[in-house]
Amino acid sequence: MQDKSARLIACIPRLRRYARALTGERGAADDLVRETMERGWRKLSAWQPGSDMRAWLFGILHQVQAEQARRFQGGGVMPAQAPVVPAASVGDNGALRDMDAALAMLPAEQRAIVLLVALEEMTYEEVAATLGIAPGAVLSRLSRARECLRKLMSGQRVAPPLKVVK
Amino acid sequence: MTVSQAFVTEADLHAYVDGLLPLARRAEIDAYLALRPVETRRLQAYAQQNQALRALFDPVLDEAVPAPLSAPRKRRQWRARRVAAMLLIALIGAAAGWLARGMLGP
Repeated sequence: MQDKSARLIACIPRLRRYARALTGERGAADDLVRETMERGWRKLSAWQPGSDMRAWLFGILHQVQAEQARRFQGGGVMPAQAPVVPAASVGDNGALRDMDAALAMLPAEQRAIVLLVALEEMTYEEVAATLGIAPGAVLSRLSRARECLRKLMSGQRVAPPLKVVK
Repeated sequence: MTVSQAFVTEADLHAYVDGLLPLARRAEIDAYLALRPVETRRLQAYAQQNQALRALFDPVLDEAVPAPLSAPRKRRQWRARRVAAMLLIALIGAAAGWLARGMLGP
């Protein structure tokens, strides 16, 4: 149990880094991590030793985020666009500032994949398991996201992502 | 072009950027890219995206972790129970006082 707790705590900085990049906003990121950790502590006894705790915890974060997004939609209020990430360490670095803005323009599900790969250095199988999607979907979204970022960063116009109409 | 170079997929190229390929396959992609400057620039841009994202968000790793995250919520439940217990004691005291007043009163 001690070991489990220590491993859970060790994941917090990575969760916070990911949440900050994903939401683009400190307050929203803190909320997301707080809720994720509450569930993590609650469900800790159900975690199987020997399995990947990081994937388990990041999976919980995504459940929480999906629920929060649904609540948002239920309330009828949805931010028009992800807020621009406050300059964590952007300073005068133009390239980083551009990446900051470009990231916020990606569709959320593409942003998640780019970040899990770039920040967490997950394999595509690990990303698929974490997000509960097929490995093929990971690759196609990663490919689209990177191309979109590349165009945005080089100043090309990018067609706004189409809303999925059900 | 070798046979395996003919089967370079988009998946291979992304895995190459992310350092997920076995050494042998990596060498094949290197050879494939040596003749394709446009493709090479595209992959360099992807690699730079990874670097930029880490440069942007790695500083979060060094921030102090908010204390409530590092412990189960139980503690807060205990605090709630303690408050409830104190209220209960106060209530019993008040009730006892009121009863005593009834018994001792005129």
